[in-house]
Amino acid sequence: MRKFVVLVFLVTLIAGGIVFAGGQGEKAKPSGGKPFEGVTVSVIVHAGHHAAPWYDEKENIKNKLGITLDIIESTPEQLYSKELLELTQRTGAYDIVQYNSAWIGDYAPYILPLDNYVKKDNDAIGFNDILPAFNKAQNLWGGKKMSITLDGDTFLFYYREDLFRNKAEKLAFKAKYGYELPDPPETWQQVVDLAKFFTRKKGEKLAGRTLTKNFYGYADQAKRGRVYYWYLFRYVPFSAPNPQYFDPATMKPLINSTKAVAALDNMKELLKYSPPGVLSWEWDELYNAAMKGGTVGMWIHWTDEGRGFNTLAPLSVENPPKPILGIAGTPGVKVNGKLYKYTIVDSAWVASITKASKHPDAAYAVLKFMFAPSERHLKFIMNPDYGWDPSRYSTFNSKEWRKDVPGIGNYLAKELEALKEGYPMLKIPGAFEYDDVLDMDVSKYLAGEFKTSQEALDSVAKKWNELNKKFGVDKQKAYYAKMWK
Amino acid sequence: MTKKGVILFLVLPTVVILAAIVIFPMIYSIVVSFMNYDLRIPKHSFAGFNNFTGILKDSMFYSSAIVTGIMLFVELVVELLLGLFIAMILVEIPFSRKIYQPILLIPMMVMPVVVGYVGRLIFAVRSGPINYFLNMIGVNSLLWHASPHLALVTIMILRIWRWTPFVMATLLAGILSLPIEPYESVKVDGANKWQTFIYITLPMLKPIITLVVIMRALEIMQAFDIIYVLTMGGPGISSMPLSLFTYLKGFRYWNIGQAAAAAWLIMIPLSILVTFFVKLMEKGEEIEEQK
Repeated sequence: MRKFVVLVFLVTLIAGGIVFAGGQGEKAKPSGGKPFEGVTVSVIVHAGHHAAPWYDEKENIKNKLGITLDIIESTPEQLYSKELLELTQRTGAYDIVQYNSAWIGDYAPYILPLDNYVKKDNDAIGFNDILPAFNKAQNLWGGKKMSITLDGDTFLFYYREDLFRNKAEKLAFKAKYGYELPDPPETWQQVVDLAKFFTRKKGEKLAGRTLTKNFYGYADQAKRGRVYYWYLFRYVPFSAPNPQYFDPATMKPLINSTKAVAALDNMKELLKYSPPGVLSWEWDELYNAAMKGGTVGMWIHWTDEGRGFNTLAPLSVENPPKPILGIAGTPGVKVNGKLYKYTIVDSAWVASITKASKHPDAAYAVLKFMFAPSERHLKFIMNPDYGWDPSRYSTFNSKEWRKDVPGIGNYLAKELEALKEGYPMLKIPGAFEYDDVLDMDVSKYLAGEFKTSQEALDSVAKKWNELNKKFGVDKQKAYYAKMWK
Repeated sequence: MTKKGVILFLVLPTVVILAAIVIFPMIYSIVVSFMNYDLRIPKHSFAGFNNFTGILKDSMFYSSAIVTGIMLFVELVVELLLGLFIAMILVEIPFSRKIYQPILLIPMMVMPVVVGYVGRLIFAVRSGPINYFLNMIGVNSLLWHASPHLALVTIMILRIWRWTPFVMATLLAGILSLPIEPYESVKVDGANKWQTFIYITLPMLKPIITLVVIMRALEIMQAFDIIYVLTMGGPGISSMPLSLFTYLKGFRYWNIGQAAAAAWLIMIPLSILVTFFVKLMEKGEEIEEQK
């Protein structure tokens, strides 16, 4: 009996020890100043330039926090499928996920809100430092802080200021259209006028010099896959004064309204003044034609051009003037004489901690290490090879950046100004699918597969209604309301 | 161990592996095709034939089927003719085989994604070398993959470039393994090269050609990478084949049920096609044996 009691005591002691040790697993274990010694945190990231900062800091994270970072790279096309598969199966394969904030509707059930952490350490990660446009469009969902912004991506309007400043062109424009050449254009109608005005053939004069190549007034990135962005740049302002994707009360799609049709007509109209082949243009084709070729007058793109303002090629004319890149917010629309402008904030890359993570505290420590306002974070943003754009006041107002890259202040100021009118992308469950069906039908219309813009957008509305039904109209209505909170 | 036991012992592992990697996924995909299966929606209810009728009512399914049909016909015909032509040249000039055969096989080694990206560069409307050469001979620039009418042509050019070497290599191996006697007999009978090719080489090569056709047809039905990179099925849906259609349903829209249904719907004509070619091959072999 005595032996039995001793045995029970020993077993209880060992079991208790195991349970105790297990319970301590997640808590910070101060050991030589490394609070998470021995913990491995896995992070799935967009392959390539987005992964570079994680690799650069891997060693520092190990040294400072004791955390081994397991970096899993995935192509952006595969990221959604790969992550969603693991998240829905709750495998815990990833502690931190990098994803496009538009997918939050699908990811939300599997993501750990960061509010408690922020409360606990008095916002050491610096949510207050993030511009409200990004905070609203990317981080918040249903009033909760679901993610931290990695990449403050947005869209800006670029134009050839060297051309727009030319006196002869200014006079000719005024004579033809009856108003001053707008620098920068404020409305989409002005963009049409300017695009038409500046589209000229090789051998003709541009800015008083002879063109060595054909010159085109405007260009979109119109390849199937991401052309919906370029439609939304019009859809949102054309839907002013209260742009919405759906009627918030009924979830009826507004994508086929009269205003939406006018927006698509504008897009088709501008195709006439675009380089041949824009229907196959992805990022690099537009960037190269506009920035390296000097053959495009106006375009909308991510912030890469703004950051690389000093690499703009001269106009494709003989003895070209000094190249100057004009930067502005995307054009708007006048309603009853009032101008409405919006800057679409790309639902770009954010990072979250998964609910299935076995080490959420360690994962949060990693996020804080990488993204809290610091010299390290500024270094990520300043490095154009990393692909992370500014999202924080501390970076937008950085003296160091201005000192390091003379002239960058203009781009930073213009973006800061444009983001005052930030507008979010769709963020409800299935957003990816809603965007893709819009993309497909816009692409079909531009390719001539729909006879009218109304027909194309009616088709989108029909599919959006089907998607609403699939996910549940009432549920989607509630989620749609969440995306504005 | 009894004889029955030995047989069971030897066969069982194969049956288990086969069941695990072939039969179970197939049965599971049939089950999924009858369900409203979306990974983002926790409940997967029974859908009956809705997934199948949904696909059959989708006009995009038919346009994708047409695109796949065009690819099947054009690629098979061009690759076979070109592959056979190059193989015959290499047979006729034996010393060139050692030099040209490895060179001709290079396209096969290039990753399809790379082919897609390179395709974007060489068929670029304004700066691509293809249009540059066309302009040099006085032909206006073509829109290639930017045009709804030429996007599929551009894809097929790249795919034919990539796959003709496979057809050539297989046919060349087939030609080189043909018996020499029939050639000697027709030589004695005074047949010229064309007659030898038509009446001796082609009939004897029929099983190899059929095999090539089956293998190529199966690959064409699955064509994906180059199209994904080059056009993403666009402009519009002008270059979207069935494989991309199924991918979109399954891995973009997460409608796994419909994707499974689409895959089964594609399986039916594919099975008929393969059975037809296999029968053709068997028939050819029977005739050969009777001779």
